This record gives sequence, structure tokens and C-alpha cells, in this order.
Amino acid sequence: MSHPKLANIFLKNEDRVNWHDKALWFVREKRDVAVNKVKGWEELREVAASIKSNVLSNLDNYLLQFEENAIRNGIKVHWAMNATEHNEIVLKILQENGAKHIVKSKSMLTEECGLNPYLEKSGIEVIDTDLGERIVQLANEPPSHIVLPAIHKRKEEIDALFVEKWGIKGGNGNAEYLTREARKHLREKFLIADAAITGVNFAIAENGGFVVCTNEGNADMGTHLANIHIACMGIEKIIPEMEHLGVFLRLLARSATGQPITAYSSHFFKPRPGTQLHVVIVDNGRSQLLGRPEFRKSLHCIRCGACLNTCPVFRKTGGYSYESVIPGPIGSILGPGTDMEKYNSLPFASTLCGSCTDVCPVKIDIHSQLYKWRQIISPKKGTSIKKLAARVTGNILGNPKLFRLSATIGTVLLRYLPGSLMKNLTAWGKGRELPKVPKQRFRDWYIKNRKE
Amino acid sequence: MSKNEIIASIRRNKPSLIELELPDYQQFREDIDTVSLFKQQVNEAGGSVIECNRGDIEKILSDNYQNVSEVYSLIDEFNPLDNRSADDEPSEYKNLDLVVLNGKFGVAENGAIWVPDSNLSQRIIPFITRNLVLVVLQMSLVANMHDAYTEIGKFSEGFGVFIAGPSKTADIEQSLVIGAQGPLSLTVFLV
Repeated sequence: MSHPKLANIFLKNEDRVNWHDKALWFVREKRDVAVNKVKGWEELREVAASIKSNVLSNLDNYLLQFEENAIRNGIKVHWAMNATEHNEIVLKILQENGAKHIVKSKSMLTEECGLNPYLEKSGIEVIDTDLGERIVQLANEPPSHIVLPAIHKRKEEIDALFVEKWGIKGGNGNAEYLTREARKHLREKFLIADAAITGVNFAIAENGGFVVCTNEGNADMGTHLANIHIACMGIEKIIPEMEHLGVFLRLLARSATGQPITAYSSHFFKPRPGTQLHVVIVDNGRSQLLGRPEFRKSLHCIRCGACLNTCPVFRKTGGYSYESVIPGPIGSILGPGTDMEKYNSLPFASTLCGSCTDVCPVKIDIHSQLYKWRQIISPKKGTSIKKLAARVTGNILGNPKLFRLSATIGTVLLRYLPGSLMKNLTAWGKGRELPKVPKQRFRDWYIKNRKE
Repeated sequence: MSKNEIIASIRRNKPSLIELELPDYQQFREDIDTVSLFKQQVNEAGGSVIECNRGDIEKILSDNYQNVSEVYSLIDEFNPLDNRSADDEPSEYKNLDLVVLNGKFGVAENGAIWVPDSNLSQRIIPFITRNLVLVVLQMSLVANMHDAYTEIGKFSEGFGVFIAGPSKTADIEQSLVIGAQGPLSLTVFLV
């Protein structure tokens, strides 16, 4: 389904829309407060963007350097061309070690690859351990936001979900009570896990280490208890040097939630003695995107979610209206790059206000890219009606007599036809008010006043 | 092999080399009181700070944590009875009430404290405990994350973590709950 059709479903519940809008705007405001406290924020974004530009122009060498250093540290490195290969590699590691119970911390890449259903098909239990992700997993839904996966759910719904799935007593939607119940449930899962899967926020070429950021401590609870840690990363997660973490860690949490840093920024270099540490490096279309100069910069993304929180269209239409793994403005430029047919409505889910570009910590020109995608998609979509309309309008505006005639017709129609009929003639009319018909037209006024 | 394919595809598609500029971290330097900013940031992250002398740590801990049964400490000043060793399974630590560790240094701009493998006997202990106490030297504080990585320098250990406050979540309707999957509390002894 297209974005407008899916958005209509979300828009049916006005209370939820208003709440969703406000909740995300609140996060955006927290971001502003945090950002304004940093001296040289704009320069910091510049530095981050220039590091990312260098990374993309030297990506092959950085990846090889990372691999060499990681192997030296005892990490096993795997390469996957696409989602299928990624899933096969992970399954093979698990099966070779007889691992049946898996705990997973947040990773948009494994969502992109459809890892969970793939592993479950082979009889492996996968538990998402980020609270928001656990909530949507229990509800059998995908995350609706890349940082706040369950932001579309109200607390009463979460309460009912926990009661149904865990047989606990209801807590009237009390967030603290529900969080404690989830903590008990997840503790049991951590303690019996055979393997832990995490994403990667940053991978460091110069020393083969990588960093995982969480607030809940779930990545650490998983990885330091289980005997196997598998970290999955897209090829674009590389940064050249350890000191560059200083730049990105300052930007990431402030942009995401308005915190100066996440509660845990865990740096992994070597496996814990007697255990295995695997890194799976995934391409899945990224190197193709690298070859498109006008869209290349979208590979700068550090998945902070700031562009989602600030976007008026995202706030009002929710993550599910996008249907892509990554929703919102950044998803609307990444989506068409992977499947233009499927995601051809996404670049139009924007007012092009440019707020996404303003908040992006790594300076991706998101709204310009949205516009560029429109230029590619429009000629391929059946837009003959728009072309016809433009031609007719052009003719009318170019001919004074024709213009006056149609203005008269328009005024009469506005005055005497019911508004409901007029408004439903085009998509633009829906949800908007028609202009009031003035008593006198400007042309009549002008002629009259000039004569006097 | 996929590795060769990926590398070849990147080489075909990447732009010509854009040089890595040497970032000027001096421009982010601020005139701040590192001690008061650090305290403020630990509090904002949901933790608390106790300023004291090293000699007072044991008494304060004994006074503040009277009802805890399982305690594990890796600081010289505080030695509760504990028979666990580094060779134990990490799950042995599942009932810990209190863990006391040395932090390597603290960061004023965000209240984060660096805890590397060498300050831990097992990586799991600062995460699995209900309450965490980190001892940080006042003179170890650095201003921001750029200074923090200068301080870490060439890192040759297996693991290290910046800890800022206790574990937390706001995944239920954006209401902040302190104590998610990791510790329910963090106390920093600033000595």
C-alpha cells in the first residue's frame, strides 16, 4: 500500500495521532535543549560529516583494515553480500554451537534482513531484549520507530499485552510496574541464553573494535552472560580512528533522545576468555548506493532518529505508514534506493520543509534527496493527469480573456456549489478549507478605483 | 567469496578519495568547572554523587547498604567476604545486591565513567548487580569526550565501557523509568 493509504488508517484514531505527535515533538524539544548546551554544535556536525565523507571514499581499505585488526584480536569476521547470506551465516554459527536460546539487542540491520523469522523457522528462540522491541515482538509487530520501537502503543495496551502473554497482574498502565515485570522476564532469558546478537553503532578501522550503545544495559546483559556474541554491522558503520568516537558519541544520544550520552557505550575488542566473538559485515545494497553520487550521503546515517521526531508528516502519520524497515525522512530516501517500485510513494511523504536536514547530526541533505527522488519517480509514475492539468493551467494563465472567463466560472462555482462536493474533487481539497468568495473581485475594484 | 565481491563493488562505486581532515578539537574547549558539571550530569543521568575522602568510603558503604546480602567489591578500601573468583560462570553473579568498582576517569560533559576490563574481574558485574558504586578520583575528571579518548589513548584491553547513570528506559509512553535491564541505582564516590 502507498503512504497516503496507510496514513489514512493511522489517522482514523485522532487521539492517538495527537498523542504520537506530541510525544515525538517532546523528544525533539529535549534534543534542542541538549544541543544548545554544546559549544560548537554546528562545527561538530561538520567534523562528523567530513569524517563520514572520507570513510565512504576509502571504505574498502577501512573495512580490510578493520578485519585484519579484529582477527588479530581473536574476533571471527564474516562477510555477507545480502540479507539471505547474513541470515545463513548467523544460523550456521548458532547451529555449529548447538545454540537454541538467543537474546538480541536492538539492531535495525537484523530487522532489514528479517533475521528473527528466519531463525525461528529453524527452531531457535529469539528474544528481543530492548523493552520497546520486546513489546512489539510480543504484539507480533515490527518497530514503528528506529529509536522508540513501541512509540505507537499506549500504556494500557502494553499492560494488556503483558497480562495476556505473561499472566501477570495488570498494573493500570503504570510504566514503572510494567518495566519491573519486563525486567524479571528478561532476566530469566539472559541467564539461559546460549548466544547474544547485537548491532554495531561504530566499528573502528584502526584497532578492530566496535561500540554498542544502549540505555537499558540489555546488550551487556546478553553479551557478558552468553558464550557466543554475534555482532551484525552494515559496511557503512566504519570510522577510521578511535578518537573519532569522541565526535560521534557526542552527537548520537543528544540527537536521538536529548541525553548527553547513552547510559552504556560498550567497546568490544576481544572475546571474553573462553568465548566466541563474531562480526558479520553486511552489504545488502549499500555498495550500490555508494555508486549514486546524488544519494551517496544517505550512507552517513548513524540511526539517531532525529529526522523522524522532527518530521511533521512522520509525527502525524506514524511509522507503519512507511512500510519500510526504516521509516521517516531517512527511510524515505533509503527505501527507494533498495526497491523503487515498492517505496515510490515515500519521497512524497514530506512537506520538504527541510527540518530533517537541519537536525541531522551527520549533515545528510535529506530534503534535497527527497526532491531528487521525486524527479526520478514522477516521470515513471502515471502522472499524465498532472501534466494535462499543468498544460491547461498554462494555457489559461497565458490568455487574459480565457483567464477572466475561468475566474468568473470559478467564483460562481465557489459561491453556489456545496463545499463538500468541491473539496472531494482532488486530494488537495480533503482536509482543507475552501477560500471565502469575496464580494468584489480585485479586477472590478481596480477598474472602478482607477476611474475615480 | 562475498568479501571479494563486496570489496570489488565498493571499489567500482566509491568516489575518489576525500582526505581525512585533522579535526580541531580545541574549538570545542569550554571554560567549565569540571567537578560541578560532572556532579550535575551524574544527577541528571539518574545517579547520585557522594564527595568524600578515600578513608571514609568503607564507613559510608557500611552505613548506606545495611540490608544487602550479596556484595562484591574490587576496591582496596572495602573488602566484604566473597569467595567468587574470575573463573566462575558469569551467571554466578545473578543475585548481587551491590558492586563496588574503581572507575578509570569521569567525563564532565555527560557524567560518564570509563570502566575497562582491567578494573573488572568479570565483564558482567557492573551490569548484573542491583546497585552499582563507582569510585572516581576528582583529579581524573576530563572536560569532554574528545579529552576522554585522548585519556584512553592506544587501548589494548579486550573491553571497556562508559557508564552514565543507572540503566533506564522510556519505552512505555516516554515516561522515564530508572532501572531497566541493568542496575537500579548508581552512586559515584568522588574522592
